Amino acid sequence: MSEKPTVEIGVDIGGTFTDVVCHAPGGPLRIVKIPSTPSDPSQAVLQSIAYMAETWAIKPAQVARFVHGTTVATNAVLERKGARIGVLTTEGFRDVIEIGRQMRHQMYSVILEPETPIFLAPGARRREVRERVGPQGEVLIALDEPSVLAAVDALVARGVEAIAVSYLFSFLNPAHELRTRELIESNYPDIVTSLSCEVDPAFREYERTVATAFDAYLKPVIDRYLARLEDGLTEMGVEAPLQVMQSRGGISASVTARKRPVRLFLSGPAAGVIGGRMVGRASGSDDLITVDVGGTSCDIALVNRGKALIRAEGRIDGFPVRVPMVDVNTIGSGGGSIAWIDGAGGLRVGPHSAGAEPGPACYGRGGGEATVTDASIVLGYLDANYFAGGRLRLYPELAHEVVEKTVAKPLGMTVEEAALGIHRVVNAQMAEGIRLVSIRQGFDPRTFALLPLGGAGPVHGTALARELKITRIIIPLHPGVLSAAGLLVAQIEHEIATAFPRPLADLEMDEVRAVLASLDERCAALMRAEAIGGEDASISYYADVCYIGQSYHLEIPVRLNDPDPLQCLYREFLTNHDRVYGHSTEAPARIVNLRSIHQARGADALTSADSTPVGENAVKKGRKILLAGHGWVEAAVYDRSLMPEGTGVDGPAIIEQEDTTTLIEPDWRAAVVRGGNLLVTTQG
Amino acid sequence: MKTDPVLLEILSNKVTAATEEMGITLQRTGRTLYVKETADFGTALANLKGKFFAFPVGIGVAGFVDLDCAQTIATAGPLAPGDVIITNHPYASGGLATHTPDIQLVRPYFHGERIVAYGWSFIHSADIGGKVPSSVSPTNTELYQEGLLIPPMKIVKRGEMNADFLTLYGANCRTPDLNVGDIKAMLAALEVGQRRVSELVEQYGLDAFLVIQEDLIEYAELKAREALRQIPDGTYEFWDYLDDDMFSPVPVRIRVAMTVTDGRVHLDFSGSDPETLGPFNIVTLGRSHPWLTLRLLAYVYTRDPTCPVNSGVFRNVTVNVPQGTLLNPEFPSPAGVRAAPGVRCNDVLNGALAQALPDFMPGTPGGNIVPIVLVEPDDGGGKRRVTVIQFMVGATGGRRGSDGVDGRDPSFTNMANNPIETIEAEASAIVWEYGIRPDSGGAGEWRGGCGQTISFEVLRDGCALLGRGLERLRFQPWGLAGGCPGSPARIVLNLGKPNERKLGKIDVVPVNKGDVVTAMMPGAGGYGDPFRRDPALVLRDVKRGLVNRAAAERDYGIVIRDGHVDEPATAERRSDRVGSNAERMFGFGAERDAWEAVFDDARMNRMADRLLRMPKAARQLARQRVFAAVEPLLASNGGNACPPFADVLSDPAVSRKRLDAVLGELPE
Repeated sequence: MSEKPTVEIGVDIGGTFTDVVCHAPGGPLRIVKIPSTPSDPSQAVLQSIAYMAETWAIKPAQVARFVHGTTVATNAVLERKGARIGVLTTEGFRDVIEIGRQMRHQMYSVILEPETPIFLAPGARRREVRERVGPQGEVLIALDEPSVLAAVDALVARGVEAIAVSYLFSFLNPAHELRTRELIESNYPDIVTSLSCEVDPAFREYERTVATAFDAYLKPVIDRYLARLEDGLTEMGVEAPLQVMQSRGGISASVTARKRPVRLFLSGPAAGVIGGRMVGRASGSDDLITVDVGGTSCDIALVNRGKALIRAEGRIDGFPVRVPMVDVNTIGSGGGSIAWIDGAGGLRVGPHSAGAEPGPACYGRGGGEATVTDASIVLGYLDANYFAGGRLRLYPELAHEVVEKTVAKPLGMTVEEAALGIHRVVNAQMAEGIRLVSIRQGFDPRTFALLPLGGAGPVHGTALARELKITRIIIPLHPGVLSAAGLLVAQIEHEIATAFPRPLADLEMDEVRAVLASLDERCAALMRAEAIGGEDASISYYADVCYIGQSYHLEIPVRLNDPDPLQCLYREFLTNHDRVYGHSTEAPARIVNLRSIHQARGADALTSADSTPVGENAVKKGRKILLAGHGWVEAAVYDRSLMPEGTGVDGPAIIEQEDTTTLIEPDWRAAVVRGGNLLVTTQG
Repeated sequence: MKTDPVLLEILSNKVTAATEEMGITLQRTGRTLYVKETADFGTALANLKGKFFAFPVGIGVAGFVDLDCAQTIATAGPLAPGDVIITNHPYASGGLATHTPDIQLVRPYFHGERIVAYGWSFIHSADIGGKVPSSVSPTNTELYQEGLLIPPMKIVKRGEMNADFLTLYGANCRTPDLNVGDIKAMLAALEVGQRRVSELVEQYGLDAFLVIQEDLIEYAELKAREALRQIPDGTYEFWDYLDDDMFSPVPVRIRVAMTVTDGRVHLDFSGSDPETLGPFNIVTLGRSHPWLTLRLLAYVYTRDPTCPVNSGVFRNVTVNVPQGTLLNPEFPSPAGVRAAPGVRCNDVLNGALAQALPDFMPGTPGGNIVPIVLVEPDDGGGKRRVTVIQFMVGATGGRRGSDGVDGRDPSFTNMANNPIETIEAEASAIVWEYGIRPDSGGAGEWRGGCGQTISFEVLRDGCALLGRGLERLRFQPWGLAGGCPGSPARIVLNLGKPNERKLGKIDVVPVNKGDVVTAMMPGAGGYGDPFRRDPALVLRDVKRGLVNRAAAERDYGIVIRDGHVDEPATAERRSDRVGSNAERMFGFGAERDAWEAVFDDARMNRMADRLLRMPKAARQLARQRVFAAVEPLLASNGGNACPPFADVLSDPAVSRKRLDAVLGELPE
């Protein structure tokens, strides 16, 4: 007989490493990074099981939860490796996905490239069906079934594996789409379908069609991947069901995720934000800006009053995907960003990056261009002998050489000035990026705490905060694996929305309640599939609301317990409109969509029995570092793993740990607080 | 440059971010759809001479980098802290306001008692009064019809709003609340700019802040110069036309001679037609201006996307724009539809650049951005529902190595289209088709893009159809390097029915229940000899329905049978070609060829030169007489009334003789 399974595993796949966090009640939090296996990402996940058994003596049967953050969906799009799909549209509208919204992002160019996801289904794989529903949901032309069959035959003849169906006004009357699926399934049972009335039941046919087409494009790929992973886990003896992080920041059973793959694009980044939220809460900050500095880019997200900001439509590879997702904004600056001199003698950093291969010059893998990481070595911020806990040896002489050759000499500077220049430029870029992300949301960054994550984040923390006039920085205990940790505290979440295009005036609350009740039933069914009963789930309701005549909406909570929920909804809409758009008037508003969200379990923090380090001296040998405005200064260096709660450190200082290095500039003070997190503050 | 490269890059980031923050603030707090959705607004920071040294990337109108605030600043008088200047007057603002609905604000940014920079913002307001709602009409003949004119004056004095001005302003536009809301959004944006400028001055010092402005401009100048040096030295001449000026069928010509010397570019617009009677004029006062130079900006950033976006790019550019031409009209010529000649200027520069760089530049785009508008009858309350059914565009031209993009416009306006599901929920219309127009892309080794098409049915009586700015109905978007022109635009009522009617260029057309309107936008020009196009690409286009089989055979020499290329038949067809224009640098199409068989470059230059010597009041009449003397049909009321030029000018020798005679009568 095996013991009762209690171990929780979070696995987040990144481009270079697959991060594993293992949490057993009463035991220490264990983490490991396993090299990713891009050709089949599930291999690294399965390797982690073997690693746990060997290294930590955790048997597969002990695993109670296995939660996964995946980049498979995003990579399938970036690498164009999704399924071959066809698209069925209303007669006269096969080019909707090609024309798009017409706005272009490349403003200054004599050469325009297509900016719509035509690759999903080029012209010959888009077929028209004779049918038409009008703007009230009324049928103007009944579904012509022979035209459906002819179109499907033609698509199948072209070798499609999946079909996306997107008819006009199907969000008001889904009958034609549902019947089309029946026809497809009865004739071609192997063809996978995605219906726009289910994937994204809201007006605006281009956005709905794109979301539906992406869903179909991903479905066979995600289905195969998750099935393989489920099978692999079962084979290895893990009995716990596989759970997957969705873009919105909630997890769901793999079986459900496989049916709604378009919701997985931000699986990884969402876990990072949820992890950040956990750390912020533990450190007493519910208003956070998380900055995940990776090799090629940095991801910025906001947490307001303990909630990650959600956007109704995101972008994947430049294409709009109208699925609710954590509002993560990417700018092209990271640790691997390359510094270069342009034709007019200016110092630029990025957007090109040395990536993981060859990586920065100091990795010694043939990188011949100076990166931000190389500059960090020259400036003394990083210890070449203790990078990634000493597992990756760096070559400081290569960093010096490359900074000197490619930046210092051409600009007539010393190598130190050049390295400092690289840091100042990249910090300015990141700081302005963070500022614009918060301003767009109507927030003043000064009132937020900065939460740098990713291995490369904490070295920039105080510099960014200073630029942004932020006075609190929180460095998580394990910033390098925060996404994997976030997986373990995230809630199970099921969210279902439906179009409800009704003016608020003369709307009866009973109608709203009836619609929400039907959404609840569907969410509850999904919860039951994960063995969660009705009493365990917390339910919240939202309405997307806009002024009549306006076409962009805001998500507002519906408070059923309020004496006048509709009035309350309207008031909150006005307040939110004022924050996001800078004004509000008491003009008539309407509901666009209604949404029910069921959430269960989840945790505020990972309780672990980390033994507080005692006795050992956390102070390592100090070293000289170069700081803007200070010159070379002697910095104390600390080993974070030996710093007990309550330890305080004044800048200038360096705090080292396995997965990151934190730079504390002068005028900043760092203190180890609850949960082992580092709170860095200034009087400024 | 005096600033060290590190500080330069840091401050470059910061001032650009400041203009973007201004733009975000404006868009966030603006009130009208123009601001919120079509992003028809702008923000920037100008130096003490009124030239932009920082311009936002990715928010607002991208093309206004070459605007100049100097005259506006000088006209408004001595400035004090807290003052804000407003203007919408194209002439009095020195071309800063490009037409009356564009409300411009300029605020001096002070440090102590000293001006250290200027903040700029503009919005396209929904209405500024005048003859018609939205203030712009193609039949306006003087500026006064285009709404309230605001010469540069102070809307805010030392922080105090000029309430009298707002009262007057509100009384002179049809949407006062929205307009005032947008002005407040602009003021908020300018306030953000002041705050960011003050922070920068405090952090880096006044000297550094002043020096950086010049350095950033010089930086852009140097970078742009490198890109412009890739144009071989020489003089490149090109001209193109607007279909007509709404009052006659005579095409309106825009001509440039572009001289490039070691990365310096001189644009001489001599030979362009006199100012038009209607509002197809660009008020430049003879200076470099965004609507004249935009193609150069696009060229520079295509070569070097890392070039800073600011006025320094245009330090490499000089212009000669003769006074009295439509590119430098005299007060009070109207300018409301300046986008039409602006789009054409873009094509003209494209043609000049194409001669210099035929392997780099594409064929010409569809050259149209037309809002097709349905006006419904008044249901009481004095309000007629006005719905933009769709912003219709053409496509982009083919270029060496790549087909044009179907259904996308590459010129400067960046209007989002409307979802069909929004249109039908709001307007009394049902859309039956909205897509790519087959067979409209110019044939070529690299095909020109196909334009868009829309077909909708009107659901009630007493409506009116508007389609202002429609162009390329007669002269086609030209092909390049042996490529063919794209199809001209067509707009038809009840296509394929007994009551079918060609609408041509429309101002206001009455439509009723059951009428079906079909608007087919022009395709773009192709690139290279179509008989050299890869047969597989032709087959793909046929399978996608973008090229029909007959056209594949006729235009491309590709014979397709049973879904495959019939290779022997294709080889035979391709070896036996007649009447190709493969040898021509430009494929202009039959109508323009017929026109220029009479009205050639030399004669039109002569005419333009002589007309400009006449007083403003006499020019248009004299011009009309010239064309009427050659052919009475050219005195028709608008282009729709005139048959094809190939028919009208069927004997070019006779027409030329008449033309020479009448040109001889013009005063020297």
